[in-house]
Amino acid sequence: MTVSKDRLRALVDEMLEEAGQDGSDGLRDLLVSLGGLQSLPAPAPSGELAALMADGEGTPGQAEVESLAGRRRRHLRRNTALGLALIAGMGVGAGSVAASPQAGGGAGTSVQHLLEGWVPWSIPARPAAGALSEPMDPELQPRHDLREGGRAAGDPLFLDVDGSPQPPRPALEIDGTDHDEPAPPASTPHRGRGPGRGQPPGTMPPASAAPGTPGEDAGTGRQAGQPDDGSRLQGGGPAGGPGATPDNPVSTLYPGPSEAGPGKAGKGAGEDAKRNQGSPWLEKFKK
Amino acid sequence: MTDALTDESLLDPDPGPAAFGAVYRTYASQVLGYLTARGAEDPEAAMQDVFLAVLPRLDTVTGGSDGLRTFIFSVAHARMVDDRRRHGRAPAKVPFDPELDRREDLSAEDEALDRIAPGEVLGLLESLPEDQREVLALRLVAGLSIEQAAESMGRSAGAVKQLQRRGILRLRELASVKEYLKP
Repeated sequence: MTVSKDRLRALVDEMLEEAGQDGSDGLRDLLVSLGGLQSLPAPAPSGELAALMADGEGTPGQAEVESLAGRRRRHLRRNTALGLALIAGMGVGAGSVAASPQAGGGAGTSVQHLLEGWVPWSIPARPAAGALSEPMDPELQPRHDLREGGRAAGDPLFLDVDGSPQPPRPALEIDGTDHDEPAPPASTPHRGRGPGRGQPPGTMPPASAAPGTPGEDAGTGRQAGQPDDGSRLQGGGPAGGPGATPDNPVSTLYPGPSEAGPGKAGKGAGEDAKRNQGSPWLEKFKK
Repeated sequence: MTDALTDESLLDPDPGPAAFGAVYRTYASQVLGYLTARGAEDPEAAMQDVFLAVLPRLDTVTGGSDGLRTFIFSVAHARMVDDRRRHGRAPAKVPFDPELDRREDLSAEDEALDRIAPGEVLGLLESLPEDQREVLALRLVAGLSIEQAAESMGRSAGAVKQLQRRGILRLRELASVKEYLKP
């Protein structure tokens, strides 16, 4: 049953009169529009109401009200159960992640692997067990760094730069007076006498390029086919020491790895591995 | 008003499915419009709850069709009061979305609704205080008189009349502001 249009307008006029208004400025239309809500299409009864209307037997209304309350309680219990299940699932997931053996160190190595090709320095991997216990020899470290600069036969650094063996340079280049490539030292203790001494002040040379220049200076002798000291090879020098050429003055200043002793062979191999970590970046830098 | 529900049919002490269906068909649209005007969260579900409470008690209704109308909207009013209290404890108000409003203009008020959209009317109603909104909904949508609205709300006729006057004045102010702000 809906109120007809005329009756609704009469009702609106009556209300306006009771309120002392004349219905101008759209107030009448507004009230008529509000009264139009009584003509909303009602949906067909469903659920319990449909069952009640089909049954016809006037079941007590109290039972219906109780059933509605029970439905709301069931809805609340269902939400609570869902929340508890969600929390339990999150707890199980967090526990499994925490218990995973790869959860601790995996992230650090992954980040290091991602940054390997873009950072100018190479983040050293986990130090060997012996490296931590073995104190650093201040006397051997400069020699070792200079030896690291030795040009290896399979060193991709030098193959990518010019692709051909280079003639040995005089020792005068080591003091930094004639440098074609940036040759900073890998570590600060060699700043004074290392090949990076010729670097302009105020610039930060890439550390991974440090072994390159001394290797270019000192290691070319062996690649040129000149005789090498057999004792150095037996001593475990990984890439041909800087003093490979007999006429290289550097060899007099920094003896080869054989002079450092065979006990340093493992350490030298580890240093080479660290140096090679920066090689891909240097390739990109030079391209 | 074409009321298919006669006073004689309401005198049946044991109303059956026919009486339930007649009551539902007669008042369902108005109850739904009233609950919509009051801003019920789910007007259709609330309307079914109202009839679930009303139909089993038809044998207790007195006063004929007017008494039944007053009874139905008293239940609807109580239902809205409960709804408001529940909202006060756990507010979960969903704004009216005209895109989701599937109502059709089937009434004789199409002309007025063309000028003022139902969403705008409901928006204006939401700006009214609860009592004023209740009185306007009971009078315009439910079709109750001042006395019947007072009985449904549990107030005096004078109080309802005053609330109606304030509500109309407030609506006029809101409509004027709306017209002023209209581009």
